Amino acid sequence: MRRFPFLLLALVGLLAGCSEAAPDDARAAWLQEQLIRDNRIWQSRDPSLLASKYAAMADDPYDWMRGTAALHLADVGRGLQDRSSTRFLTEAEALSVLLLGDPHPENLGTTLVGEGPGPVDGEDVPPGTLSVEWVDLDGAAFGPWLLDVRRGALGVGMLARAAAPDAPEVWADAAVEAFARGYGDELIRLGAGERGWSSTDRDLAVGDLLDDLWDEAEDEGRERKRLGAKVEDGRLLVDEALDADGAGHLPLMGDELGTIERLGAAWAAHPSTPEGFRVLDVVRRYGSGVASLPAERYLALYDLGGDGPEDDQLAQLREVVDPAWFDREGLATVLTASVGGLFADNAERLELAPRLLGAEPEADARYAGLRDGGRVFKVVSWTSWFQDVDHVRVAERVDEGKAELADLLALVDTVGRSLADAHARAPLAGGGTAQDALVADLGGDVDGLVQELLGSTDRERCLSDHALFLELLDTHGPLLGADTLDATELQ
Amino acid sequence: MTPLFLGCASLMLGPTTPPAMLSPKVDDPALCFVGRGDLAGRFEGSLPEVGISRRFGLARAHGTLGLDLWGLGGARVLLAATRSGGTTGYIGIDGESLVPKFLLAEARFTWQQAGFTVAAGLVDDPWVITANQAYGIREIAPTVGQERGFFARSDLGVSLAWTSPLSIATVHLAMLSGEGTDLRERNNGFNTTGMLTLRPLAPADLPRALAVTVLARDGSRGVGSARDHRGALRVASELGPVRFGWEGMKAWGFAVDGEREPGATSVWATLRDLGPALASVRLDLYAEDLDAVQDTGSLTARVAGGVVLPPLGDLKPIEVLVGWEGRQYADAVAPLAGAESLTSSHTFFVQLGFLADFSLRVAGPPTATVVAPGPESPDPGVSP
Repeated sequence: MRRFPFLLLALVGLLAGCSEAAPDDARAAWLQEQLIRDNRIWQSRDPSLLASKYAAMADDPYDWMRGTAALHLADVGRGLQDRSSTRFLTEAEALSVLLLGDPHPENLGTTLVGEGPGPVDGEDVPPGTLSVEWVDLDGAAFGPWLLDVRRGALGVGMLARAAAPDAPEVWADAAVEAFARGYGDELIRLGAGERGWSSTDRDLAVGDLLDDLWDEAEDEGRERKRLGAKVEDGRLLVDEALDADGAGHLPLMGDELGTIERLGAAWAAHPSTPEGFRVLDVVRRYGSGVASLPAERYLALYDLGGDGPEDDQLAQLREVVDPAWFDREGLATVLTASVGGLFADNAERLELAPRLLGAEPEADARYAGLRDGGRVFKVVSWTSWFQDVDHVRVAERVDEGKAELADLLALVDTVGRSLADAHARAPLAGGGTAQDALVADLGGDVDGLVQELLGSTDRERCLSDHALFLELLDTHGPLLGADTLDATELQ
Repeated sequence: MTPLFLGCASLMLGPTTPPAMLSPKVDDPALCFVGRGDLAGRFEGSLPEVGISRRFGLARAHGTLGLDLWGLGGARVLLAATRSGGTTGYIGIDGESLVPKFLLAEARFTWQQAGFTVAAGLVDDPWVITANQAYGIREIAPTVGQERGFFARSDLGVSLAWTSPLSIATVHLAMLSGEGTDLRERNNGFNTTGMLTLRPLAPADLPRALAVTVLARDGSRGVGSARDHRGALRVASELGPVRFGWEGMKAWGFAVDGEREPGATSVWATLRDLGPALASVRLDLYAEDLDAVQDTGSLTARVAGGVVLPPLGDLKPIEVLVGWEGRQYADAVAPLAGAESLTSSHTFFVQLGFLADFSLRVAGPPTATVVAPGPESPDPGVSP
């Protein structure tokens, strides 16, 4: 702790003495403001979709966590005496690592490496066909590695709570410890030129939950399940209306037609687009994701010029905005120094992040960033080879007796190792890769990392904020009162 | 720096609260266009070298335009360059282009004989504008109140000021939205600010030699009406080319966070208009909790020096500044609590700046004389 000569400041203390603010009320007001600021871009587009996002976050504490990456970072950077302090980040280079941005477990999933459609029913799935990857890097930006690790620890803790049949905090703490040990151990191994985990090696996938993930990907991938369920006679199926949760597929309307025309042209001209590529059909997709639920999202059916359905494939196009953690109070000093100018724009950021952080740089052959004027859309494959961790499914497996704590710990160990693997290859803002800086910064102190993450108040805060959020929705309505800001100011 | 050209004396480049004795005497009222250019390009390098540690920047790009209606008031706008994508975002205008934004847009009525001024629109924050004047070399850095977020540069609302005969006292009242320069109104509450400045040496014809300013604000901010109160005190002096002073402030509710009660203080000394020389020393202290200053404080020290160019008599619109800024943080206010490599930083900079006023007389008795700036000009050395 630094000690400063603060004698002059004591004079200011003479001014102290005003009334106290009730902590819960103060926190609720701060929470409300942070959420409104974080979501103002969606408020300005289609408020009903933002209301659906808030509703999803209200229904499930894990989804609340998913939708509040910006809030988490605001808390990390918030100047308060009870902040969780770190023993790490003693190396300057460890502050400017290309981070994943939001490495919670549901962002980890299987991908089909290379061009599709992949093996079909009755065929073997050769080694190297699938890779376990971080599949959502929309939050990728340069910053201190510990931010990703804290976010990951929060994610695995919330996952364990959701799955725990009883004693949720015990499960959550065990999960955080397994995650931290997985991360630290893998980083140390990588520093020694070894490896404890491989994204393409199914034999290293320990535990029933990881087995399930691989099984699901291999079975449904060969079956081409999504294609079969969503396509009929060469056209995408559409719903008559959105379901009660606001999910579904609807035909294109109004401005969407022009958007798709422009995006289709940009997609066809993209370097990653193969010969013979044709877009066959596009629908508007609603109700997917949590943080990005209000984003404009489309499902596209395309082929490579063949007459039959054999080469038909699906891809999703979704608008991506700036990472949630830009402009967070307190972190601006770090981020301003390390972020500016490193990517030309969000399209370049989206395209480069998986190649720089992914275990298999070509894990999704269709991955692309498309520009539509000032907006950027991300293209990702949408096949049944792509399966991700799902907290509801994990909880069901535990509930059904098909998985237990050991399986969960094996899963979150993989989450930690996969994160360490990505961090080790991540570029530094100043050039070079992060591995040596991270190994030096960790200093072999895995126990210290475990202790620090277990001592963090992030999860406790996340849960208490969720309760406040429910009260705010009750008090201020489905948009938290942001709809009252729509009054005309300039006549 | 002195006015590059003045076709007529005008109040419109000054703040809303020009004490009568400290302002140009508008005894020859005219219709005038007035303006001020204030630009500075900076190169800076920082340690530790985190990410991009050497960079060029546009430290300031402010342009003021106003219309003075025969000394009875008028209107002015102040435009400042800002990065359209923010300092770290990618979603901006035509990339992240620099774009102008309004820092001020106000209509003003002045009854100079009575010492009364009222302005409405996007108006000066009374504390920030007077702090800038007391500090004297704003182009180095914002004063601590603005830099640490205690006060915004401007806000929507109404601002009234009255200065007593002999300029012994100025009373300032402001009713503002409370959301600052960049956000529209978020709640039904107003921020009410009262500020009193006393100049005990004004009767001895030394109005700038000692000024004591005290401020109290009752405020709320954000959709949730988080409390946002302030108290502040400043003692400042200007003796010829030297300015020095101390200020301290305390918040009850901060950054839309009603739980926080930080405080800050600053001491400074500056030298300006002593030949071509410029110099400044400043020490700022900020603490998240005044009862635990050692554990929640941060210290910022700045030293800068420079010269004005070219020395063409009274015309000194161009300056070169070289400076150092050191920051040290305790855990509670560091960008990341505990991160040793973030607990201190050093920044060195070189800055080339331009600052000058002009006015153009468009109606009223014609004059062919350039008005030489006198000792009572509206703080020519300070751009708000």
